[in-house]
Amino acid sequence: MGDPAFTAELIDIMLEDGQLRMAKIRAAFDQQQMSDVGAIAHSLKGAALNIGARDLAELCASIDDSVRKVGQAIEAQRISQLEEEFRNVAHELHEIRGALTA
Amino acid sequence: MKVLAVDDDRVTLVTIERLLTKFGYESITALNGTDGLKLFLEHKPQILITDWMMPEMEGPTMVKTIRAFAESEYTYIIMLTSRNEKEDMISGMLAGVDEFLSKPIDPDQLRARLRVGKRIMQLQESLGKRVSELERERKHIKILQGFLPICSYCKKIRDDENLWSQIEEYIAQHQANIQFSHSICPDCFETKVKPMQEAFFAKKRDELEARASA
Repeated sequence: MGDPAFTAELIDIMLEDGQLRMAKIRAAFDQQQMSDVGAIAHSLKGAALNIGARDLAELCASIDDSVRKVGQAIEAQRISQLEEEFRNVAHELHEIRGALTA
Repeated sequence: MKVLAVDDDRVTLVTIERLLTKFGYESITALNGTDGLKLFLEHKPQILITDWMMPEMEGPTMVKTIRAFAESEYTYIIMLTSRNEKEDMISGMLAGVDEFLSKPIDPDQLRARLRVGKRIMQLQESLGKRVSELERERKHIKILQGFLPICSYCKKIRDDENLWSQIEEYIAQHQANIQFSHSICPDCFETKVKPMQEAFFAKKRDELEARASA
């Protein structure tokens, strides 16, 4: 919205909430609580879409769909893939955040 | 105009809050359906923007609860969703959603939907005012209908066309289920009938006496 301070605020929220959600997804996966994995992935998808992180949003959507529509268990590899993508997004967000405050 | 926004994603919520302020709306926010419902009951916003999937209480459940609470005041409800399937939209509408808005939030689409909501709410408000006016007028008419002009002397009744009629005639015309069976009350018997009877018998007696003496 063309306001660096506001963009920085959104990035901070996204990083904070995103890390929390990733931790929750991992915990839910470790306990094999697949419906929780799907719900958290769905929630993360909305946040990812809002900041334009399309790849992350797509990964979240595929996990959410697998759980909700197919009732399919998620493989460990897909959770690792999601964590990897979140790390990439977080790295990019940190760089943008740094440029905004520089 | 008050707008309540409910979403468990803070990025979305902060974005909506910012846009609402920019578009000139008063915003209230909640991070889950339970808090959203509490704030709804407390602030009675005219427009509600809510996410679909949320912890504690999902959007459609909150919407159903709000619609069940609502009596005369309407709330325009916009549901945010990244689920664009037909079944989801139908179930959202059945829960009481008026409009859907896809994530990520597009500021122009949000503004357009808010304008529709504002227009609907203004129409609703003017309709409510008109209904109240009509109710007041109806009560006034009922009071006026309670007055029945009656002649103080002959007891004739004046109708809406300014014509005077006997009370029996008037009631027969205006109260279809009433029929008269004529009778005489004791007072009228004493004051009206008895003198006539006495006069009649006196006349008969005079005639008989006249005939007898002839």
